[in-house]
Amino acid sequence: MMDAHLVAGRAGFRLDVRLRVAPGEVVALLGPSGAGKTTALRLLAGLTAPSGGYFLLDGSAVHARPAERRPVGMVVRDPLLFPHMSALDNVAFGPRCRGASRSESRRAAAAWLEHVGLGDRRLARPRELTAGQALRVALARSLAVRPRVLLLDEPLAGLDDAARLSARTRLRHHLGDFTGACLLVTHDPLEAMTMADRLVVFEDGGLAQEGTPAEVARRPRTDHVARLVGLNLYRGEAQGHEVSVRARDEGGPPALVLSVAEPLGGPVFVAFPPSAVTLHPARPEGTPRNTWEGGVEGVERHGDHVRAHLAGPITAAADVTPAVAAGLGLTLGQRLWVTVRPTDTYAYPAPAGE
Amino acid sequence: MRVLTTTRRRMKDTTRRTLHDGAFGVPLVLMVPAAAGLAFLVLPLAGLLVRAPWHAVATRMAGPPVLEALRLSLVTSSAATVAAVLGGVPLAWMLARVAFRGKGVVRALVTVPLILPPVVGGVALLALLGRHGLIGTWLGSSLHLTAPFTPAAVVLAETFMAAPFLVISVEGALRGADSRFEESATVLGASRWTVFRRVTLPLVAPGIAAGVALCWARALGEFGATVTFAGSFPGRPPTMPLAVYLALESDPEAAVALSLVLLLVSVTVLAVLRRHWVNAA
Repeated sequence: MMDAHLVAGRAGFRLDVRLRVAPGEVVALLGPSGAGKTTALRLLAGLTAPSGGYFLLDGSAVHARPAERRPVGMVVRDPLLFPHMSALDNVAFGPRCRGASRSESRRAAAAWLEHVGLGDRRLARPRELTAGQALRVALARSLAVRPRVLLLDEPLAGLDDAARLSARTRLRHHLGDFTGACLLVTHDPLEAMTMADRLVVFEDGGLAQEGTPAEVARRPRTDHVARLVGLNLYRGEAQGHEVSVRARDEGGPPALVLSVAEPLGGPVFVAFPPSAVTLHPARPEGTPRNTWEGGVEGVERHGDHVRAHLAGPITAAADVTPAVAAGLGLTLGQRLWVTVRPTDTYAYPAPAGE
Repeated sequence: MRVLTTTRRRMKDTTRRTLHDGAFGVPLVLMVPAAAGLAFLVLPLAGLLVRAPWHAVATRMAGPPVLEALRLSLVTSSAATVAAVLGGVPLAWMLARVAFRGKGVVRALVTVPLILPPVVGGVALLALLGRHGLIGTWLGSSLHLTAPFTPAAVVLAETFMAAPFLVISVEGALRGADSRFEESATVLGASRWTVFRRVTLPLVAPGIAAGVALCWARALGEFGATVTFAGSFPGRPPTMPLAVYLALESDPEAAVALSLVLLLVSVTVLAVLRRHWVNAA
């Protein structure tokens, strides 16, 4: 069991998070840029000096050891293979540094390259490898030192879309075999959802939310998490099926009353996916519940549909098909009526004081 | 149609830009001084080539005085370069990778010999290592070592004047090298020494090569500090630059021939460096 309390401070930023990861567990660190994800990994690797906290592995103090004596492996975005060494020598570097003989480390390296499917690329120089192959060599290089904690800092970010898909599948496969604790920093929610057993969301150097991918996706607790998982998210006060939703700024008067499916009371979150939003050029007949008027603030392509961002009493993202978008003639500043069916919303209690 | 028009417009833009930035667009105010500057830098070398006693070059160069001087120069400048590498690469590493107090001062001190008049460098070495110098007195009395007027003195003077070129060049290479490779090596379990030996040095090898070439060329041509500190003794072979200077008095043709040899060496070094820079770009 890995148990770490990571504390670091630099000008205008302070990181303070507690991370516990079980052997064999893959934890994804998500969060906006500058939230401290990479700093957390660097603290664990011993590359950044902490200003407090601890790092324990099964009770033994890893934080007291220098970076080169930690049972930690790390793979970063540019795989940083040593350019003057062959793939084999890159992988053999770690075992050699950790006391294996030259022939032993070469044998181990050859086995690891075989394991990641690059047995025939032993003698290749890093510049002769594709980005995907370089990542696999980097992974083999990290695993070759038999780490108990594996740190992956946006490992797939340097790949193009086609390569990323197969690389993700391979990486999942290798992480499945890995018996230590694994921390994966990523900006890609899909990557996090598909590879991690648990998500940890950093915001402003602190822990914003933690849970299984399903929990986090269903119950985001901050705007950032909601955007990450592609949901519209609001905070409000519930009274039965009615939720008084505040605008973005705290303490303002209720901007809108939304009807929700679940009866609740007190502070709650209300979430609904952009695909549940319907747009109308004029006020819809019969005035259904959850209807408000908003102005189009932005339009973008989002996969095979069109996403519109709408200002109004509350901001919302709406996904419509290209045909619907063309029918509405979406333009910036255009006024539209927005409806969301109560059964498409998802309301859940917000912890008091948050 | 619209596509055609834009294409044509873009072509016209390109043409205009070429004319504007090309040779015809350069103002005379800049072109004339530039040409004069170039001429000033090139013509002396052309003079050297024109005045060279080509018919006698081969025999002159094969003569014992030239070969002796060449041998001494090659040996001392190579020794000076080795000394500069042994001390200069670690110094450059300290400057590039270690944070310490007074680093700015250290860097400034390292660069002093670059701008110091060479004769002052020679006097400074005498003040330290001369017969009555700070350390020289003690060296003479207890170890019976006297530095001045020996080949060792030549090496010292050349090292003093040339090592900064190596330090500056290697420090630049180290700063340019991505230190994340070194972090990767550390996480893999490499000690600081292993990181330096197996990752840092290979990464900055081109920079070290450039530094070595610059340093060696500077040491080979060193005159002022060498003549001041190591002097010239009748009966002892002088270094090449000293030989050129001495030959000017007695045998100008020999001076030109010796200069040709030094020019050839310089051009070779430049060619090596150029290849390095082209490869780096």
